[in-house]
Amino acid sequence: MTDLTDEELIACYRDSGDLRHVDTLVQRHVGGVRAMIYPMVLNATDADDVTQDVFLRVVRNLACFRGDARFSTWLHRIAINAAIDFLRRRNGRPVAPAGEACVPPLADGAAGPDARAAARDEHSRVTRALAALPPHLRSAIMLTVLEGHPVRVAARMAGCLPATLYWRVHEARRRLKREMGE
Amino acid sequence: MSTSLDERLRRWRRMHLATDTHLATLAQIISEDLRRHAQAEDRRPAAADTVGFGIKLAYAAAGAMVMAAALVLWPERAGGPAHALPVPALATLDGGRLAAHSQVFREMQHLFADQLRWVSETDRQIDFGVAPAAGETAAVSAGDARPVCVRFTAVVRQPATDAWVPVWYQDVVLRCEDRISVRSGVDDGGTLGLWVYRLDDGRLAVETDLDVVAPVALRAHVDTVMDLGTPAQVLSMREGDTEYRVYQTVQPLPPARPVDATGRRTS
Repeated sequence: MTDLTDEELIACYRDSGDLRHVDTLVQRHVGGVRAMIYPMVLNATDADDVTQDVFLRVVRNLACFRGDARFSTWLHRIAINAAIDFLRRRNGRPVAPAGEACVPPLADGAAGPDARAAARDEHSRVTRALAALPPHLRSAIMLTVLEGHPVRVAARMAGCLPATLYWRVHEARRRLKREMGE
Repeated sequence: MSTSLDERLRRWRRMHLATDTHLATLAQIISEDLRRHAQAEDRRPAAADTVGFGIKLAYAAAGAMVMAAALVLWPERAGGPAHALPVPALATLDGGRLAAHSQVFREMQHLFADQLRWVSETDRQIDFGVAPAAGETAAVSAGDARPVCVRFTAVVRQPATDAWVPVWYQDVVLRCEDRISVRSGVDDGGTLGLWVYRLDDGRLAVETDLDVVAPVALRAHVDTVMDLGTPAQVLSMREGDTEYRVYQTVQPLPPARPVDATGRRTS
């Protein structure tokens, strides 16, 4: 089953209704989806919840997947919509606390106290800067800079024209530079 | 900082990647969740609907005809003078109105090849929404997909009177667990977000984002568990000496008469 492509797995699920085909899709994409969601919601628990919601939406909407785009593109679009829906629902409630407790372990060998403090400051600054972006600007920077998608692909995922996405990335960069002191 | 903005962002991202163990656990939780939902909904994915633009246009025209019929069918429509009535009476969804909503929803659903998500009626206009943007909840035809109607009724009480007078109402028909956002009021830029969830005891949990701009600004975010058909006050405010209240009522729609392949109601 794991040798099948995403599209073949979907076809098998449509034919049989066997959720094990979907399990394979989940295992294949859960990491990528969560990595996309986290910069949007900025909280680990919320990222897990929204990731869960994404796959529920995927199964509910498989009838709408017509195969004219890659499954991963379609999946990522669902993930962006789910994250933006989540942010709308949260509607102004605070994002992740900016305190030390939410800073993950430093993986780049910053062992000394000064280095650790600097790394914590840097982490907090980036988190605050991302949190200050409106959801559509945040998703634009996430798709292009963090996920590394070309603008045309990112635009398809975001459901907008490439020109719109260029504008969003430009505006997001401008705001991030200001917030991050560049 | 000497590093570029992009490199700073990517370094931040690497710090937040989940571990393999975490992802394996998450995948397991998701798989179990999917099975629970599959059991609950007891449905399998339907074949994809391929609806061309021309067909959609025809659907839209037909939908407009249904809406026009609905305007005639519903006798309580606006235009008439506002009457002072007890609040529960104003906010209550009577059987005739629910039956009309049910019929219109059913026929619209048929016209839009099961892609209809919601129908909204204010005292001046009717809107409807169809799915098929990726990521939005597509329409379903399973048993638990019986639509519900949520009515919002805004009432006002002028100084030195005891009577509450309706100033605005909106009925929204949607399915449980489908989060929607519709226009509120009449082309005033306001929105009304709704999400309804059916509880095991038969009651309905309703999450409401109310943002009405006109005729008066009414804003509230309310999560509430509703008894069926019983109006609940979701907002109370005062502007000068004038008091405003918004009530919310929710009721599942009764089953509509089936529609045959040509769109006609069968007896």
